[in-house]
Amino acid sequence: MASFGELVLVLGDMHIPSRASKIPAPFKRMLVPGRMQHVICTGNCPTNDAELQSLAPNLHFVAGDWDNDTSATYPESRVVQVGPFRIGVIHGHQIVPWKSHAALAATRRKLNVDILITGHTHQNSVVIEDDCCYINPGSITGATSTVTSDVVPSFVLLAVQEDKVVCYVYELKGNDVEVSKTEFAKVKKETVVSKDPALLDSLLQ
Amino acid sequence: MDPINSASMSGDASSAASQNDNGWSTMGGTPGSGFQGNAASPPPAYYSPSPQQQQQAYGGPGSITRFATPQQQPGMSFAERSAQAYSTSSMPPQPQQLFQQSPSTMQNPQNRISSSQQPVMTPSQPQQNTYPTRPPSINQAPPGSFAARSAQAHSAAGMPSHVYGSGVPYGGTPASYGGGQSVVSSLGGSPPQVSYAQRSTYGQPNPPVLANQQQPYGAQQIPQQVPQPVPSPHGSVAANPPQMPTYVGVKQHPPGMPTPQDQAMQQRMLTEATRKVQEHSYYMRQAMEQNNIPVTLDRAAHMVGELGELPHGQQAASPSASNPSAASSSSGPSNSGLSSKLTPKNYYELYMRALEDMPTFEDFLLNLAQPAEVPAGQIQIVASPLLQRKSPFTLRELYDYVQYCPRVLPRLYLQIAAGSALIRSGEVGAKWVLNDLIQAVRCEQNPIRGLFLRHYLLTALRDKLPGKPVPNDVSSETQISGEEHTEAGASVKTVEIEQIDVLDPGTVKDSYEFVLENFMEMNKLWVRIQHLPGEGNDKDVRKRRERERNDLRILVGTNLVRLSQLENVTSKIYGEVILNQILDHIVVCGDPLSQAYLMDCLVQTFPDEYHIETLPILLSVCPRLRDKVNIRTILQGLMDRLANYLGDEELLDESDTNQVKKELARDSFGMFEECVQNVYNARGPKLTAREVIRLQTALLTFSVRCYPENTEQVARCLGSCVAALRQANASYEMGEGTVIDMPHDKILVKALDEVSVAELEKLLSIPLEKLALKCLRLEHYGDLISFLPWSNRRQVAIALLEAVDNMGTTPESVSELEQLFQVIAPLVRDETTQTPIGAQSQYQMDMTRASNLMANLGVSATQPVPVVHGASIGPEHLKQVQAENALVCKLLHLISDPNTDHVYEQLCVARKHLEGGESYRQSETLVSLVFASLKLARQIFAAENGLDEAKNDVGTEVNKIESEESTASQDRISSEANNADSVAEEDTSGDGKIVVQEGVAERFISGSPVDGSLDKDDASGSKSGVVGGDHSNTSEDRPSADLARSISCRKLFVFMQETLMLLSRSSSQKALKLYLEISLVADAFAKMSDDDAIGYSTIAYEYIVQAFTIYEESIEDQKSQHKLLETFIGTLLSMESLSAEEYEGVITKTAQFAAKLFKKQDQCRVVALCAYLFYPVPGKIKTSYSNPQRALECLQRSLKLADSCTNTNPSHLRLFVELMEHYVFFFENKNPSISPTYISGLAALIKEHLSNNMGSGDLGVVEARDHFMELLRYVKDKKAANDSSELFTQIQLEGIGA
Repeated sequence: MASFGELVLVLGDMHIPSRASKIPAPFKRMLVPGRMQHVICTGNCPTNDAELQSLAPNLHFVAGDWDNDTSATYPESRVVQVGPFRIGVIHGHQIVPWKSHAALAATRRKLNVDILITGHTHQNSVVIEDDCCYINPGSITGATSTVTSDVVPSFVLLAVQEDKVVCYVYELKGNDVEVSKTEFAKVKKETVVSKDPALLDSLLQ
Repeated sequence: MDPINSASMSGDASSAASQNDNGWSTMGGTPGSGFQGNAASPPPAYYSPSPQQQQQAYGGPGSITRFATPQQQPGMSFAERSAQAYSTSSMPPQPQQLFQQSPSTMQNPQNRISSSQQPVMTPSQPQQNTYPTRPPSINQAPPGSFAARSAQAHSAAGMPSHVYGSGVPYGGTPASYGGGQSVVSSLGGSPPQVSYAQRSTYGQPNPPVLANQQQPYGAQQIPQQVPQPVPSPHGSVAANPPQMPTYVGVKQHPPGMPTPQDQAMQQRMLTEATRKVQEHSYYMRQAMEQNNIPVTLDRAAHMVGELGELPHGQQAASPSASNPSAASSSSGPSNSGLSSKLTPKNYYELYMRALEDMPTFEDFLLNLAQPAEVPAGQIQIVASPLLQRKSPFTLRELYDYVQYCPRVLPRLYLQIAAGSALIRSGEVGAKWVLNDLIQAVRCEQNPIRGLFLRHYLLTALRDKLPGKPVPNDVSSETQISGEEHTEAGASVKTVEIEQIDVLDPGTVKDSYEFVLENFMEMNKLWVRIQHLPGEGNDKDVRKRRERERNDLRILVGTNLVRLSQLENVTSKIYGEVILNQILDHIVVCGDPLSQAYLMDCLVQTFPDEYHIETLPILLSVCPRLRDKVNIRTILQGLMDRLANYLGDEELLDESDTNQVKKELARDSFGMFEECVQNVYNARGPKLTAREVIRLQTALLTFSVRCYPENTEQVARCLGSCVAALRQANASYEMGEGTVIDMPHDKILVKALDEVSVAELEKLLSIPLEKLALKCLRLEHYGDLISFLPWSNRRQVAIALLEAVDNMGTTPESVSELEQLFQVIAPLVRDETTQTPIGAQSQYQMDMTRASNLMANLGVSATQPVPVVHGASIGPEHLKQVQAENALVCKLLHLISDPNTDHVYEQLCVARKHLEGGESYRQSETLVSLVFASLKLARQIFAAENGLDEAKNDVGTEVNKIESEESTASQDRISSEANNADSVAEEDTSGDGKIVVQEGVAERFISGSPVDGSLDKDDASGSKSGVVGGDHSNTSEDRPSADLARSISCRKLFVFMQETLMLLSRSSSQKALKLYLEISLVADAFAKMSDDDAIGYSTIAYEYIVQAFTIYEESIEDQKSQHKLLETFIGTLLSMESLSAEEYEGVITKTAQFAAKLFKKQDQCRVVALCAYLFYPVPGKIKTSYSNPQRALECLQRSLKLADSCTNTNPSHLRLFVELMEHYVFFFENKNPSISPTYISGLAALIKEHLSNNMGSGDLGVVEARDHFMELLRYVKDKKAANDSSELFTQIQLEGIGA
């Protein structure tokens, strides 16, 4: 485990029980408690799922568009610091137009994060652009979506090690789990922006 | 001639004298005398009263001569002897004579003398001198004889001697004693005292004790004098045979209710008795070491004698501490006599203590007969005692000696021990000993003492039972019968009749016959305990007896255990002999406790194989048992065993050797069922519903375990249950019960009691695990569930759905789903919600009514108001409901079928049931239903448009197969109208279903929205013959050309819309979101189909309009409004098929809503988002709607709001930055209305605000600045990038910072 660094499980859009019955068994087997340090959930997950709660000590939930019920209210968005990375989490239905990368980029800037994690589309993706990373874990249950027609069950595991993060995307195709890997390194930007008023001015020059 | 016979011949009265002489002088003396000594304490009563005739008969050395007699008649069974003892009443004049077999022995007074001069006795000789005061008897009885002493005691106490007589146990009629007593004065010198004298000599090792003995005897007899024959069993029997049953005299005095006092008393008595036992045990061991045989025998007899009654005339020692002298004084060879007052449990304790040393005693006997120097081979000596010199005694002799103990119980214990040793010695075959002992122990008829005695018999001989298989069936069949004859016959005859080969080691037949007889006798005794009289009222006594008996049951059960352990008892023997006898006995004994226990014992002790073979026999007995016997536990035990056995067998036994048994086992269910039925018949109404359920539960468990595939058996079990319950209910009056819905009829059900309910719930859950949905096919399952109260039905339903979820099986037909929903009704609605299932009227309301309803109810977003039923639920209940909802939802997701029409029908059924539920159920289940429908819609759409190749192929294949049967071959991809028509035709050619279907279709129409665009669809829907949910049967014989798809994708949208209308009554917010979601799907369909001939775009539009309607009428919560508007905008932006007019209409409305948001910052944000609606990213909208100016207006308006917000709170500065993002976005996307100056100006504004508010340290400001810098960096990057530099250079950021 040490070789992977800190592990962050990213999942979301379960839609249990409204759209799906359960997490597919092949995934379920992989989700062993105690392996991960963080669980980031993009929303639309059953809030009282004990199994999910037991996976990792740190859970970071945001509200999905179907999470409106009386139960614990989660924030619309939140920022999680893992290692050197600022990770922004938001469900994504608020970001219009949907599936627009520009809108995502704007949100990323708004949250001022290195990695932006969104859900909603049930379509997993890992995009690195402008030294920033955009991750969508898709739906771990493969819940049906009106935005995406063919949903492949998927989730993402982030291995954060020093200033590098490796994104593993797990997809369930048939009964096989396929894993793809993307690496993303934090680029040293100009040192701590907010502390230096002069820098702001320089940007406006 | 066999040894026994020869011995008996030699022992003949006429010829015995000299032989005896010799015999005793050589070997007989010591044990004989020992025995007399042993008899010392009880015998006084015995001997002293002996009438004069007896004295004469005795002639003095009677005791010794007695030793010879057994030898003379060895073949004589003990039973006879004991019978004689009992029969004394019939021959009052000479009981002792008979008992002692004395006549022949009288002749030899010298015998005793010689015996007393035996070396063994020498140590005691001097002791005799300690009592020289006794006048020497005629027969040279040693002085100080006991009789004399006791006589003295009596006289000293001033007691008339007849007192003694009254307490006499063996003495026969009191009259005879009277005779004896008249000669008190002469007693001291009379012949009988010889025996006493001798005894006393043996008792001499404990002179002080002896001295003490006088005291109790003298003292204690006083109170007992005249009246009581009762406390002494044998005496009483003898005296009053006609009046009393034999056991009456043995009346036990168990403590009353177990009060603490009683318990303490019990404890004291137990301690006292135990102390006695230990004392005797100690002296016995001591005597063994000294090789003092008489004392050993005496002490051993006392040791076990503690278990018995006191000899006549003695009073039980008081255990109270207040009488220590009495306690200690009786510490000689005497017994406390307390055992009869002990409870069975404590008696058991005492029994264990008393018998602790019996093995030692047995070994002692064995060693006596087989000293080390005597080779085992010389046992033959027995045959000719004259030749035997190397060993002092044979065991045969010892076996006989021990029987001279005058008290019955000790004698029998000793006899058993000796018999055990006898078998071990090999002198005599086990068969003979078994025979002798089993008859001997008949003497003891006191239930408790008899039970323990026989238990000892069994344990002592446990390892000595012959195990040799019976060579042939030609076994000694005559043996038992012959034996029985002998009992009645005269003793002399017996000897001749006796056929037993003394050396015959016997076969297993003898063993099981022995154990069987012992078992039956023990059971009789055990049953008798129940009928002992007791203190207190009848009920208490009965209860107490039952408790006591329960403590003792293991004693009886041991027999069966031993039987089952016998080797070479084949299943044939078991089935033909043993089982039959046991069962007969069980039935005949008629005691419920006994029957229940023994049946259970039978089941548990004997091997499974036997049970399988004898199952019919065993089961046939069950109905004949008493009503109180719990048949279920017996059957359950049996079934468990068989099930385990079959399970193991399948694991281990690979060969076919047990095939036969398996065959037998295959039918065992039938046998059990028959048995259960017989029990029903036998017991009739006495069998409670609860017990019926339990029986069937057991049966069902068995079936499921052994025949997992056999649903027929399960069905039969359920059927029996239903029948029984109905029958039970039939007797109830109207009004006592509640009428409940049954699938087929309404019946009156009296509420079952709690236990029955729990049992029934258990029963219904049993088959679920294995069968899951298949349960529904069982005829009576649903009926049976109806007997349960709602909450228990819920439990069953949960179990069912969980099983279904685990198995992943789906309902295969509409009817099955229908049944399933009947069963899981408790998960769909609350009990109070007795809305009939056909409550479609609720959703037949038209659009306006629905809208009004929603408006009136004011359904809020966060808290769905229960619309249908006003019950609000607490958090606990909510949690439960959520779990139940989840199960139902999972079920809905499972519905699938290659035939989409079937799926549709099932969905219809599901909705029909779900709509009866409460809002807090509907709000979740209906959502799932919609998504399930959506899945189906996609499936149908894919098939219709040939999009999904895989599904297509499957579809066509099925289609081919099915269309072969039905002549109508349908073009799958034909237009919907064609489809509908052809199917309609086909349906008319069917069996008139179209009539019904039209009715359903009508209902659908009336329930459908008013919107004209869908009317066409409804029309086609009606033509296509939608099958309504409430005639589920139609699916079964439905023509199978369904892949022609009578249900179109469009129809599905109608269905979903109807469902959403239902949903909107319970959760308007969810309905709204679903409208939007589905509109997206419709939109996607419109895009995918080439020309959208079906009008999916219209559907999409219709859905959006619905969503708006709900928003307007029902969503009042600001937070929800904000969130929903975001969803609106996102959805609308994703829509591509709307016409420009439609699009403009909806976005304008959205903008209006946005402008009405309550919070300014919300308004600001949403209005800005609306800009995207007016200037959608080009190329997305079919009609290319674009209104750049309106987009700008939105942004400007938003800017104003932002300004207003920031003025009140600087942290809203970020609104400006967000707005600048939007400006940049539109600028980048070439909105002509957005000029770069807007951006520059906004940047300057933000800069200004930032510098004004930086000092505040407000988090919002900091975030705004970070965002701003990120944005500036983005712009700069764009400026730097080649492809965008041209555009972005227009943005003038320079100079702002300055």
